[in-house]
Amino acid sequence: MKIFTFLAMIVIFLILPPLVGEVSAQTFKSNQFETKVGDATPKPQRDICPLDTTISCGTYWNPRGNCGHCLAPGYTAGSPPASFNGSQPPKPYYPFGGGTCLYAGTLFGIDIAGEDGQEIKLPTIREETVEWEFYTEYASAIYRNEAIQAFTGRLGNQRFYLQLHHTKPGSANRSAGRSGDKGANICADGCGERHTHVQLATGAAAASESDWLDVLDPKGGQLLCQGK
Amino acid sequence: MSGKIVIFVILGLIIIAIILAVLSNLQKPQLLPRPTPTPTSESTRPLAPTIPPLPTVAPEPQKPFQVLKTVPENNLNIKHLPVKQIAFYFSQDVNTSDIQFTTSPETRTEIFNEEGYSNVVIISPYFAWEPGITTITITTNSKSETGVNLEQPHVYKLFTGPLDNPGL
Repeated sequence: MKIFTFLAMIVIFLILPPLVGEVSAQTFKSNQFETKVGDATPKPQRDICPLDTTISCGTYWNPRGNCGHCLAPGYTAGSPPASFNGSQPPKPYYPFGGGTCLYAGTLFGIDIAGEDGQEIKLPTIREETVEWEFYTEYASAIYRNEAIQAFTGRLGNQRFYLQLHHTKPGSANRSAGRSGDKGANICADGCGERHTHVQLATGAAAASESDWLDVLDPKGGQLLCQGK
Repeated sequence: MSGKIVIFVILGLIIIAIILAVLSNLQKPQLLPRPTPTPTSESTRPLAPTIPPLPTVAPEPQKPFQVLKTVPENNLNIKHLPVKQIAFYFSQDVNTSDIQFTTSPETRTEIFNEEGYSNVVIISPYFAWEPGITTITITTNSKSETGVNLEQPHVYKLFTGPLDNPGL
């Protein structure tokens, strides 16, 4: 009797395991959950503004300190009308009818307060370090003892063109390398500017009619001087 | 009496197990042995039925590989910034490593695909173009992704330099 029971159990255990195994393989699946906890360490401040002071005048669309470049007295800043084509603000918003705003890039740029002779740094763009190379110096058409220093920059596949205005002639760093290096010095010798005006343009093939960029445009992250 | 019950239960379990085993074998796909071809001599091979020849299909003509447009357009009346990048729109997808080009004057450049467009190639100055006119020639050694050579050289001219009116 016992032998018969023993043989019967052997037969059962030989036949059943493959069947049970198939079921088990389908049953035991585990789910893993990954929980992300907020970054405990704050993002380090990586922005390098040409001058670590204040923006004394903003762009046409993004004024600072109650001042926007080329913003006519009596008009308030804000988003341009939908008909805006990206190159010039439509009348009557286009101001003055002359003066400094005859130049294509002026209204896209900013003024940053400084002192005579103060060092101007080559900036980061959206907090990213840019490789900069000196391009040329323009003598001011009007003002004595002033010059514009132009640089070209590369950031990954993007290319940029930078102008630092109201600088001391010959003060450009012609061996410039990267963001944070000296770009030039604010003009001195009686020029009386005590600020630099900064303009930035893109080299993108498909740029709109104007290659100049509103450096304070918050869309996509302010290009220059974040937090100012 | 209890011995008979035990035997009865064990026999029942064996029968259930056998039924389950048989059912599981029925559900498994049957693997048929691959038939091995048996060699036949010419004399013993049965006559093959005559099959009409398939109609010959002419090979599909290769799509021409050419530059469809450039951005900015080829226009020497417009002076561009020294950092201007040029987008070449090809008629077929391309790998940038298969695009051969020259620049005159010789300038250090970079080439890459426009993000999201495998038929658009950007040729960029490493820092800046030399002031004046730069001629970029994409040569016929250039190939599309499918291996088609550029139909004819594509010559593009770009005018760059310091701004005429940089400001004050």
